Amino acid sequence: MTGSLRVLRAELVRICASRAAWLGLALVALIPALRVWAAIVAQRAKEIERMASGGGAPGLSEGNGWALLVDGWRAGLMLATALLLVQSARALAGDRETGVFRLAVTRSASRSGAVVGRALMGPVITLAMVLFAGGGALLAATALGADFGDLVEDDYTIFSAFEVREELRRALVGAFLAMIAVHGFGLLVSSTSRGPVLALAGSLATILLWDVFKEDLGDVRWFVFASHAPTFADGSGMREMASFARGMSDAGHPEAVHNMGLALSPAAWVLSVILACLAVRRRPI
Amino acid sequence: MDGAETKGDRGDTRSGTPALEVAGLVKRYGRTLAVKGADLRVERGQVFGLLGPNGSGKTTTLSCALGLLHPTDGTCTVLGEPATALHRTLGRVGCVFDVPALLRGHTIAQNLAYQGRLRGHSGGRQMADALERVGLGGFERRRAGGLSLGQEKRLAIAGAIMGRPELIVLDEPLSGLDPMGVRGMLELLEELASDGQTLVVSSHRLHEMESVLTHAAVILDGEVVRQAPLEEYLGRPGSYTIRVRDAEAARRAVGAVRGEVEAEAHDGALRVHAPEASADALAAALVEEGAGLLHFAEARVGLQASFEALVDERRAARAAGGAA
Repeated sequence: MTGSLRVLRAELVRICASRAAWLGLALVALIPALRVWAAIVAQRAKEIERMASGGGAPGLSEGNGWALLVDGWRAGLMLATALLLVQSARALAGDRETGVFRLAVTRSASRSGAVVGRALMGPVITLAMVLFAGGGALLAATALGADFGDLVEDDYTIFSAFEVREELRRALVGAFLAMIAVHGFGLLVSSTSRGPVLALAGSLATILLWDVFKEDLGDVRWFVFASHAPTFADGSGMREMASFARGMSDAGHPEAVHNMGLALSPAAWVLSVILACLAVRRRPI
Repeated sequence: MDGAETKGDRGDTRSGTPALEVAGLVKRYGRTLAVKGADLRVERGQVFGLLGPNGSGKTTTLSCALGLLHPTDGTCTVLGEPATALHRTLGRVGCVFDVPALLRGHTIAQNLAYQGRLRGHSGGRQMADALERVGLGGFERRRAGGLSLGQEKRLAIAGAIMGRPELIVLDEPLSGLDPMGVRGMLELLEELASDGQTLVVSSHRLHEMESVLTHAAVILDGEVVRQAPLEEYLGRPGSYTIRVRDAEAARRAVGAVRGEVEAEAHDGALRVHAPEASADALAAALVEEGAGLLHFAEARVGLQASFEALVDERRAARAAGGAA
């Protein structure tokens, strides 16, 4: 385990010194901000159109910032999921190709330790991305005057701000765990691939293919961790949260689906890491 | 190493555990047998060369010894630990690979910080020391991707020598370097060797490696055909090549020196083998006898010639085997 921690620390030094990593994080923060800005522009355009046509002011009268925040955050997480796949897919295959993987194995860690050390980067990077995406969305929404109070429509409080925050926390935990599992999956593909390009293509193609077919599988799709992650065809708790933040009281994953995500994602991550360790064990490096 | 010690004497066998030991190593890639039962033993303090032409099995042997490849058969130990558990030697082994393993998008300092963290420390003073030793002091902020091949190799060596490991393994450190790069690299290897660190160096650049090594193993077609102190490759000690104006006087002078002496004319010069006489005594005898000394040099076969002889022997043996 100490070998894994040494590798984790070294990888943290590496990623903190990487311009590409900071650029990725900046994008993860910028995209939500742009999404919020675009949503506000669209919202105002609709209001002007409605006023011009003599219509009333439908929708929320208070707490409209939540929907903006969730939409922005969700956009950031979709990008973050793709970036996590890129990072994890090149983590083993790329380092094996450049010889950097040898540095760990000949200095401080067993092969499995070197894999686990890289796998432990998953939660760290995911947490950073979730925080940056949320930060970008929150800053943009606040700067543009969004209201984060209770959700009120026609003087009726649909959800209190506390309830919205709780639901958001619940959706974020599910998405966070699923994103870590996606990172683990990328690592597994990377461990079995001949090179980083193949690893990246393999992992991205698998997740995209799953996105294409998952809707056809009905409730069975919840048995696969990727369905709980905010991918480009997002079906995660964050999508439901976007409806919830607009005051739709029937939105939100059923408790059973949510709990399945909470159990399945860590299990999928652990399984992926174990399989990656086994795959690397006998390979030339 | 004191003055009386020859290069071949280096190597601490007292501790019992060799720095690197390979026993009966076999490595097969599909149908190709890359290494055929290699045995190697590198004692601590030696500068050991694993020499052979391209494709002879040097890198495969070292890769197995470092646990990067799984041998088909045989065992490899490094500082007493099995190759598969090399990580247990934490910080005591430094490795430099043929293609330097670097983070090319990162600076020199960041590369060393990464390697330092892998060893469980932050780099700091050790990093500065290592960069000074390899001649990259002051270049800390340069990106590894923008370095020349020679500088890349030096950076890889800096990463390997951080923390002064007991054993440093270098795979083809001279390959791809220009003459100045080769010279600089040899000076660096000599400096590392003079610090008493054990070096294992694989190379096909025999002539250049001659100045650095204390021991060498020659590997041909996956077989270690000879392993010996360097002196044994370089010819008999006490042999000299002499050119004089008066050959007869020279013969008389040679005949007068102490101990057993052999002398023969070769290509206009006199080849003398006088193991019991010092070079000073032999030269003095020649001057005293009025031989008109023009040239006096120690006669050495050279690693390249010795290696070529081994290759020829092997070819001859193979041809004889084929004919039979």
